[in-house]
Formats: sequence, C-alpha cells, structure tokens
Amino acid sequence: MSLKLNIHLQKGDFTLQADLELPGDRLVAISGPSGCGKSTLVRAIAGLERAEGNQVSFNDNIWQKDGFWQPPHLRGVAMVFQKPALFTHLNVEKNLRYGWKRRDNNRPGLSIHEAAELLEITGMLKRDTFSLSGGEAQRVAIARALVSNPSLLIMDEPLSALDEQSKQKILPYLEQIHRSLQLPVLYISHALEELARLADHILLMENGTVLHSAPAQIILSDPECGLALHRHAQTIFEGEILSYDPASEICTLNTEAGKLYLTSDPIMDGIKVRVRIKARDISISLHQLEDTSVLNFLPATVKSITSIPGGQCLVSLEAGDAPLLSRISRHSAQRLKLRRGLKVFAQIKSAALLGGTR
Amino acid sequence: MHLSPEDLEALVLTFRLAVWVTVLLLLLCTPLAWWLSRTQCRIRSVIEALSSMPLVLPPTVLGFYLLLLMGPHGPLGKLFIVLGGEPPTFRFTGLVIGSLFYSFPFVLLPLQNAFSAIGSLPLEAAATLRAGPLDRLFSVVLPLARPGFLTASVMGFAHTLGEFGVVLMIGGNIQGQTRVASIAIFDHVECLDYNRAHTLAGILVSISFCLLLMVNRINQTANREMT
Repeated sequence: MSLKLNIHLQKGDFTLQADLELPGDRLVAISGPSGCGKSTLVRAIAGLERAEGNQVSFNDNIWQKDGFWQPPHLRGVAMVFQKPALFTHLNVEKNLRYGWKRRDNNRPGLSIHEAAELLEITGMLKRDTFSLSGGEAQRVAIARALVSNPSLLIMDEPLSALDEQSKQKILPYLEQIHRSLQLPVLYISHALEELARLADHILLMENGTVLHSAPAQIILSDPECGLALHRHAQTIFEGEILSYDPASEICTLNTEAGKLYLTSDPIMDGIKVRVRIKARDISISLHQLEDTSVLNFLPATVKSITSIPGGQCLVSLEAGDAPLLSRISRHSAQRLKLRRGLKVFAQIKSAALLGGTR
Repeated sequence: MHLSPEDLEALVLTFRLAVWVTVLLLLLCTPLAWWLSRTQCRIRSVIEALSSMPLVLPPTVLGFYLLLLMGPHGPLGKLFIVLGGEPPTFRFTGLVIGSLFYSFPFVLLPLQNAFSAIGSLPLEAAATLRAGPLDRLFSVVLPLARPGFLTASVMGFAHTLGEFGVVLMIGGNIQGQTRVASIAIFDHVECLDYNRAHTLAGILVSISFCLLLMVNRINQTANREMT
C-alpha cells in the first residue's frame, strides 16, 4: 500500500519538486510554511493540477505516467477544501446524496445515514447550505466526501478557516474517522495540535521541496525538525489500556516507552490510545525519586542536547524503543552534567498526559 | 383602446422574432460565454470588445453594414442564393439575423457573469466526487447559473422587442413580414394617428416593465441565496 510520486511542477516563479513514496494506508500529514507547495502537491495527486511528465500512482492504480493522465473524477480521490465548497443549489441532504449517488460500489462504504451520524449532522439534513455555520458546513463537506467512498481522502487545511471553538469541535470527529474507518488520508495542516492528534506519518515541505518524510512519532520529537522547536512540541506514543482503578481514577497503560499512569475517565481494558506528552511537561532526574507527586518515571538514555533561545535546551531521549523529547533549562542540563549516552529518568506528571482513544 | 388587425399582426410578428432570437442566442452564447469565463487566452479581450459593439454603435450603422452583408451582392446574400434561396434582406430571416447581432451582448454578458461567479471550487469539488465533465455541466453549472440564464433570456427578449433602426435598414416596412411593433408605432405617428400609437406603445411599455421587474426579482432572490 503506497502512494508513489514523481512530481515536477512549474507555476510562474514557483517550482514544486517531489519524488517520494508515502504510506498509502494511513493518515499522512503534510506540513510546512504557507506557499511551500503543500496544496499544489495534493492538487497534483487529485488530478486538479496537471503537468506533463509527472508520475503518480496509488497502490495498484496508475494515475499519471508518461503520456497517460487520468482525469480527477476517475481517480476516486475525495477532497475536502479549506472552504466547504457545498453546492448552494442543493440542501444538506442533497449535497450528501450527490456524493453517495456517484460512490464506488465495489467496496463497502458509509451510507448517508451513517456518515450523518458520525459527524452529527442528522438534524441538519433538511436545511439549506447558506443557513449553516462555518463549522457545520465543513462537517457536511467531510460527510459528503466520506459517502462517495473514496479510495483516498485529501483534506487541504480543513480547519484553518474556522474559529478556535469550531476547530476544537471538529477535531474529535476527525480522530473518530481516523480510528474507525480504514481510509488512507492526506491531511494538510500547519497546526501542531492537529498533527500530533491525527498524523501517523508526517511530510515536511519548504519552498517546493520535501524536507523530511518519516513516521509522526519520529518527526514530532526530532530536534533537527522544526516541529520540535515549537512552544507546544510534543511526543506521541501508541499504547494499550492495561487496567483502570476507579478509586484513584487512574489507568495503567502499556506503551513502547514503558508503563504509564494516566488520570482518566473510566475506560475499558485493551483499548488502544494515542498518548501525547508536551516536551515542557517532561523533566529529567538522575535517580528515581521517592517523595514526589510525579507518578511516571521512565528509564531513558540521552540521545542529544540542543540549545534553543531563552536559556533552554531540548533533550532528546530514548525510552524503550520510543523517542521522548524534554525541554528543560540550560542551567539544569549543565547542573546534571547531561551528555549523550547518560542513563536518566524521564519524569512525567500523570495530569500532563494527553490521551485520545483509538 | 382598440387594436387593429394590422397592429395585432405587427405585435405577433415582434413576439415571433423575439422568441426566435432569444432561443438562438441562448444556444450560441452559452458555449461562448463559458469559454470566455474560463480562458486566459489573449484573444478573449478582442472577442469581448467585438461582442459589445452593438451596445455603443448606432443601430443604423449596424443595420447599414448588415444590409450590405445580406443584400444580393453581399457575401451572406450570395451564400443564400447559392443554397437555392433568396437574399434574407426585407424578409423575416433577415430580421432574425440582424437581431442576433443587435441583441448579442444582452444575452452573452449575463451568461458570462453567471459562469464567472460560479468559480472553480464547486466544479473541483464535483470532480473529486466522481462527476465527469458532462455530469458537472448538468448537475452543477446549469443549476448554479440559472439566474443568469433567466436574466439573459429576458434581456435578449425585451431588447429584441424594442428594435427599430436595424429592422428599418434591413427589413423595410412590409406588413405581415417585416413590420414589427416599433415600426408600426412610427407609422402611426407619421400619420398623426396618436390613438393607435398609444395603444401599441402602451403594450410595449407594460411588457418591458413586467419583464425587467421579473429580472430584478430573480436577481434579488439569487443574491439572497448567495449570502
């Protein structure tokens, strides 16, 4: 399962150059500064931009090669744009029906009813599109894309035109889609929170070229990549719930980095979750402390120390097989004499762990 | 108010002309307006200027050139003769051809504006929902451009109703064949028969007013739906 690209596209002064292979079965996030060519790249994949000589293939389907070019409506790529792009001459239900009537029947897919339930728009089906708020309209656009049963879903900054409140409302729907549907997604965003919550794989771009392409867990915590320098930089791991103690409201998680204790609402054993830890919520000690409120101590090895402005440094750690990123003061790093290869303990407050069931 | 049989005949002829011209112009202008609304081609501005000429030219000038073009010695007149017919001047066919030119911009411009206003986003959304080009035309473009089509039809129709100069130059004033309402009015005034002129003029005024009122209503509802 993979998306193979060899794209060279000239638009005025701007050149997009991408020669790479991406996983074709998971959520690949594409990030980078405005004007770096993210949109042009996905538009070329969807067939909305065309340049001779490009090569695009998705799993077993060749979409462009040599003289062959498959028009967008035959690619089975559904696209959600920054603006909802609903058809204003149709009401909400007829917008969904538009996608559903043209769906791919060869694979199982969502019905209009199921998609409306998933995005909680069932109550709006009879409404006209111009009566919807920005967030509601975008949920309808996402549902419309899902019912067309696409082989690949492209979302081009679907939340960027929305206010903060609407974003926070839609993100859980996107997480739900990501974990409940086996649907490959290309997701453009430059919001760190969206990347950390949704991405399985991240592609970083700049000036029309690809800077990095790697699993999200690695890119998010790699000080060499820009995302680790972000104020809210965070490490993610996948974990499984081992047990839940109702008295203390703490669940025990098994992750690649070791066992973690996390305050949480009641949750079933065996559920897979994505845990996110902000770099500034991880502190470092040389010994396992006894009389502390901190519950999580992960044995870890120092991989690198990177100085950053503001008297701070990023310490890249490895706990088990998982990377961890800690942001501490440069003064503390010197006091502890941190160096590459040193065995330390990463301390994480339970309350600092951000969970997301999946 | 009394409408004589000759005046009724003039009115019927005017309506027949307006219907023919509106239908033919919609067929001609739809593809051209679509192309003009999408192309970046440099000859676009030339075509736009040419098609707007009837807006500024005196109808007599337009009529004069059409007379030369369609007369027995003009290229179009000769073509008709070669095909086994008569030159279209001073006949209904001539009126239709002349009016096509005369009313052209009144149909083309509303259509072009309507197509431009759709933008590329709904079409791209439709394409990524597996709608092919023809499917997109019928399921997205035509419904979204509906107010534009109504405006274009009404403007083309109403403008053809009021035609005078071009008709006079290429059609003369033959009762039952080329005497349209506006020319009949002119005749009545020449003969100082103001009553009959009033009747015909009043009918044209009311029809034009109702049509334009309809266009405004349509545009208002369309605008409300857009916002």
